[in-house]
Amino acid sequence: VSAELVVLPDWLAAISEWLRDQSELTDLVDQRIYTELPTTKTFPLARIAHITDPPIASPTHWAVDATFQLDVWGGPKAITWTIAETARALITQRFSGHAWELAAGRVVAGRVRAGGIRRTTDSLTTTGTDADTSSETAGARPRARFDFAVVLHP
Amino acid sequence: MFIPSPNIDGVLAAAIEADLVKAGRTIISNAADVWPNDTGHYDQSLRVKVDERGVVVQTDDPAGHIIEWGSARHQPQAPLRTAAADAGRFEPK
Repeated sequence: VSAELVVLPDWLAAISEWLRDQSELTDLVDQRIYTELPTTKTFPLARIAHITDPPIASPTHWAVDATFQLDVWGGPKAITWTIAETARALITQRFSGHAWELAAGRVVAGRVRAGGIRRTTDSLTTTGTDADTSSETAGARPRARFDFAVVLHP
Repeated sequence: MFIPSPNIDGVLAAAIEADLVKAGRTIISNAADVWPNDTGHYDQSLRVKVDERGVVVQTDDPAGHIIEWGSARHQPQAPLRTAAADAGRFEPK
């Protein structure tokens, strides 16, 4: 029997915290990178979701191949895409290959595989405040999303 | 003399098609397991198809894209990606 119980960190809390620490991203979206969209929204904003994290070497409970999805709602289409692409660039070029000390725990990020950015416009109307004008707007929002997989371990 | 096949991708695709269909059926089974079946007919909408895209797993559910990818009002449930990751290595495209 192993003396130490390995409990993995909350990957979603860790990566959302990490994204909110990146100045290139906060210059575009401030701290509005959520895991659940707030009731009162200021646009543009982003949401990250954790899809799954199967262990890569079962039964060893240590490293996982985790899949996430990042959604951005704008904002003009161009800003929406720029935020998504900046997040993708940061995740593939900076997050990968390093150990990060975060409030959610120590996270080591291995190889990242990111998918393409899909650009759509919502078919439903969302009400919120425009960050640039501080005025309330309602409309179908441009959306950019991509998913990515990353090998993670404590 | 070895002559490289100009259509090696087609030859390989044909050679592994049966195994990919089998893997697709595993993904469907996994997706049906992770999705609650007490409402709707999502589990019955899952298909393995062989067409010009190759071997694909897809849903015919009209709300399938929202179930998989979410919306401003719904978190992505991602049963197909979860099932693909459970069946092997999932690579985002």
